[in-house]
Amino acid sequence: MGEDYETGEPGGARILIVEDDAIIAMDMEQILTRKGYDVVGRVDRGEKVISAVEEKKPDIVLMDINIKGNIDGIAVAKELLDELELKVIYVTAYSDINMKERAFETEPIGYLVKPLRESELVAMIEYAMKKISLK
Amino acid sequence: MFITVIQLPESASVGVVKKGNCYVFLIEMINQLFMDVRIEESKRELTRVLDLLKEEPRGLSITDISRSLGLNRNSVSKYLNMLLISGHVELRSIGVAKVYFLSKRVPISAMLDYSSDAIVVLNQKKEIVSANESFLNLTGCDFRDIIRAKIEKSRVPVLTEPEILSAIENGFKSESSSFEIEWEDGSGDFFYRIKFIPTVFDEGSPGLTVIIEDISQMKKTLIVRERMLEEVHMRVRSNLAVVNSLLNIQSGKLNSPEAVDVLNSTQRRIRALALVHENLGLSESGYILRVEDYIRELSENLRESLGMGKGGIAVRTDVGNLDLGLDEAVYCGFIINELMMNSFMHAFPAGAAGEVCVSLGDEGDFYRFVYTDNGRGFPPGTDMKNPSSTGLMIVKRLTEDQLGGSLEVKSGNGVRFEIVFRK
Repeated sequence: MGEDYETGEPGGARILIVEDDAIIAMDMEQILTRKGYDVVGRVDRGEKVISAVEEKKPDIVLMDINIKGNIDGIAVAKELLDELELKVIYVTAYSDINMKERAFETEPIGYLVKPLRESELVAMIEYAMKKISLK
Repeated sequence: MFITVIQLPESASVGVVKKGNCYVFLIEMINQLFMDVRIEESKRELTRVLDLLKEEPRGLSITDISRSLGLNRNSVSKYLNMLLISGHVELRSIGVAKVYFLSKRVPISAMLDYSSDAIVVLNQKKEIVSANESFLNLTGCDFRDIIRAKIEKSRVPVLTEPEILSAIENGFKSESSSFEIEWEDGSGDFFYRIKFIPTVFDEGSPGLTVIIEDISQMKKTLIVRERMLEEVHMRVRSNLAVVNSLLNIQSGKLNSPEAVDVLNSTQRRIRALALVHENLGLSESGYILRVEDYIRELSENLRESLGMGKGGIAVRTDVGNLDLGLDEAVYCGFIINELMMNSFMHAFPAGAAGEVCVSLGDEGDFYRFVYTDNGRGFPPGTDMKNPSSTGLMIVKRLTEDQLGGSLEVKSGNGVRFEIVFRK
């Protein structure tokens, strides 16, 4: 496991999951698919995110902070913002203030702390979709 | 023209004729003359007191000195006070007797260079009068450039920071004090603990000794340790998130509503534990739980996971600024979660208004935790001593076995749980 994969049906918001834990990624994918969203793929390594975004063109990126590779989720989010003007939703186990401050410099749509509740994940995706449609 | 008669010390009277400003000069000269005589006299007597104390290493009382020198007790007391202030003698109480000893004095310059701390001594005019090797190494200053330089104009690094200059100003007026500063100088970040010690010079004039202790290594070690601990807590939360996801995936495959309920309750318990780790803060004594924040977030999470919305049951807390240690935090967090889940799920009819109150009080060696709701209470016949529900069993076991506390439960118009446990 831990390989990138493609999944989801067309329609609804297109979501890319950046998460290096296969179980958590699978859980998020099942929740989102059940709710009618289109999970366009999962990436577990920081270096692969930009190319995955360019290829899959997601509306929303769910970004873990502590991921495989030499760059963490915050550095990837900064690149996405600077290069593609794409804002992310952080989904992380980090809750300390220093990490949050660093993360918020990348102007995220939201910051969710694990373990996730289905309702908060879905509410955040809907909030993100509203923000995107208002742009 | 008028004549002024003044009374001078030693009962000498001098008449002065006013002519221009000349008489003022005359009075000052006379006063100075008498003052000089008095200072000389005092110096002589102070030397006699010191010589006498030198001969008596076991110390002498005021009476002893008074008898030996043929001086009255008040004069001896006055001279001893002067010597105490200047640091030449020390006073010790032996029983009811106050005994004076000669101070053991070591030249400060000899001591300074043995210290690894940077030390600088300022006189009353805030001029640098002494600095040790460590100070010169720390600041990169040449002794000849800074000696007799006023500190605010000296351009000495660290010491000329506004907050340090202000502390120096206060140091002359008050007791010893210290504080820590962070200093950045291009080669990196440094942390210093700076102590300000009011000092008296031999001639009795005030000064200030400033001691700069480099605590950079200690601070950096602490920062690394804090980061490592945060990493450990992040790992705990990650692992709990994995277990939560596993249960979520599993519950999606179940057809039995009862089995789904069981898994959902277990997930809520896991999230309550993760929430404890999320609300842990670092204090000087270790990790602490911010109880008020925890209860607020827990009640919001439970409402959401039970699909209750914002209204309905109000949650009130009375925990002051109390924080709990890590072990107590985990068990209390679990207990609050169980009681709140019970109230939210069973105490009130769907959509009805209600109130839950949580209080935690510090009673010296004990904490008193009280939880109430104004719902329908437990069903008649519920055995509180041997509860059959999982939630109540968890509350009882955690209170008695983990916290070593006592549990008192009342049920009627609502429920009341009172838990007292030792700190």
